[in-house]
Amino acid sequence: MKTSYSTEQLVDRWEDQRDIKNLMGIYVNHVIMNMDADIFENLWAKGCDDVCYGENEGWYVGPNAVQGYYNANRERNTLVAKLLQQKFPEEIGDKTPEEIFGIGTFRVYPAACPVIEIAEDGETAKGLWYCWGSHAEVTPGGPTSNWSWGFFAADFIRQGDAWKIWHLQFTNDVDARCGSNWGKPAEALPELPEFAELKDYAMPAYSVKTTVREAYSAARALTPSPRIPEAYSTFSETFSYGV
Amino acid sequence: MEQKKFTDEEQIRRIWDVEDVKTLMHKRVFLQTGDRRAEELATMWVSDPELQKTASYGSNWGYYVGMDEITKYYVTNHAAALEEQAKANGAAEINLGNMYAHPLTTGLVELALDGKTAKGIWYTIGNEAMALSDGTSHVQWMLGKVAADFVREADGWKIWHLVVSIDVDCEAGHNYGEYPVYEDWSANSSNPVRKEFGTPTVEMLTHDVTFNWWDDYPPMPPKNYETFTDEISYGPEGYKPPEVVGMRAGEGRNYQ
Repeated sequence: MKTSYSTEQLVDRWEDQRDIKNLMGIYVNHVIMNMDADIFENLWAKGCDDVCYGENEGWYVGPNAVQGYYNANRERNTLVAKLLQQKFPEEIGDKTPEEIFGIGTFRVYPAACPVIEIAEDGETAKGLWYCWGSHAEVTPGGPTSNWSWGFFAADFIRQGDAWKIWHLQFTNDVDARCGSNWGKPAEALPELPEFAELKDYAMPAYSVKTTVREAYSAARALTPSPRIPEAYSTFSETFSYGV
Repeated sequence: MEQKKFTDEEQIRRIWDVEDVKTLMHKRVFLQTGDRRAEELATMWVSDPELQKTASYGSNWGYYVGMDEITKYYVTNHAAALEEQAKANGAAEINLGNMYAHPLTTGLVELALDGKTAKGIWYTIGNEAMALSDGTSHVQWMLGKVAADFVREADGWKIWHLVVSIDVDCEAGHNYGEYPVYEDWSANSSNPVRKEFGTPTVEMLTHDVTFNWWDDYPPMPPKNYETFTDEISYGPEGYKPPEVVGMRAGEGRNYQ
């Protein structure tokens, strides 16, 4: 850390890094609560054409594509709830779509080990987190649960009095069924007719299809985490977590 | 202990000191994913020659003491094992098919009132994958406490004593409740984690996981400590036998 900051600046910068931790905590809680459709509006930067969201296999670039990704998650959750309602008509057949929204989908992606660097100019920041989480979802093979090991890596931008997400990568090393050994080949779940409709549900195509991070396999070369943030003065002098 | 009074400037500096210690340990997690062990020792550990003599890396079975010994275990022996693994697997490069994930959580950091040292303890739920010659890999969960003493040097906080105290290691997809109670924890053990730790400078059982004995090791840092003393060290000089029965009762692994 630069040592020439005044006491007031040190307090401000401490509050900045706390706000950024809270922002990612709020993000994680939005996902837990299946509030995908609200994420872009609540947490992402506005007026930036270069906002982007990356997964292992590609990027959604621009406000419409990023919002579209989150909307697609919501639509899938809606479909899952409908299929479960059809499967259990006696138990939940009389519930409204609003009442059953979110059933069958539980995704918890805790953000740990934060390394946060705030630019000396205070306008942007970078953060890297480790995420070991779990998700329980309904697939064409029925309900299943996975361990998930990966990383959040993000650039943030100050807009008004608030920090917002500018570029975000959420990539995995491991996405393996709970109780399995991810060092061995995984067995595919047999498809179930009552959930077959999910086979036809596809997420939007990536804006940029590329390998952002290769998932772990016994054939993968050692793959370090995304780059660790380094102290920087202004964003043009550092690297981007974006596409 | 009476609460020392600090100025506003001292207070915010101390708040940042705690943040910087946590960040140091978090950066170590990310270096571990790339198996950047030599870089870790060069950039994150003490550089003062006097402190290097007493630096230590501990685990359930003792401590490596002094940076030379730590380097031999942590870098040199590890590199040799990786070469051997690559040769056995017919791999074109070392670490092919390996993965190291030791994220930390539940950080608890205490800064000495004199501001010269700090102590911290974390919990890790990690996993490692080691490639096998049949094209698959051995994956193991690794759960335990990670504790450390830190020293302020001219360019920031550095690790002085580190303890990785393992509670659970078991193969992914297995129920660790079904593992045998007694296991050979000697240097000849076939347990991959014990085997990897080799023969430390100070060989002693510090944390016995048989029956989950309560041994309070490594202990939580003392609150509001004035200055560092050997008595509270996470190095071998600070180790205290448990005060309750259990590990001392002569039962459990490796007790004759």
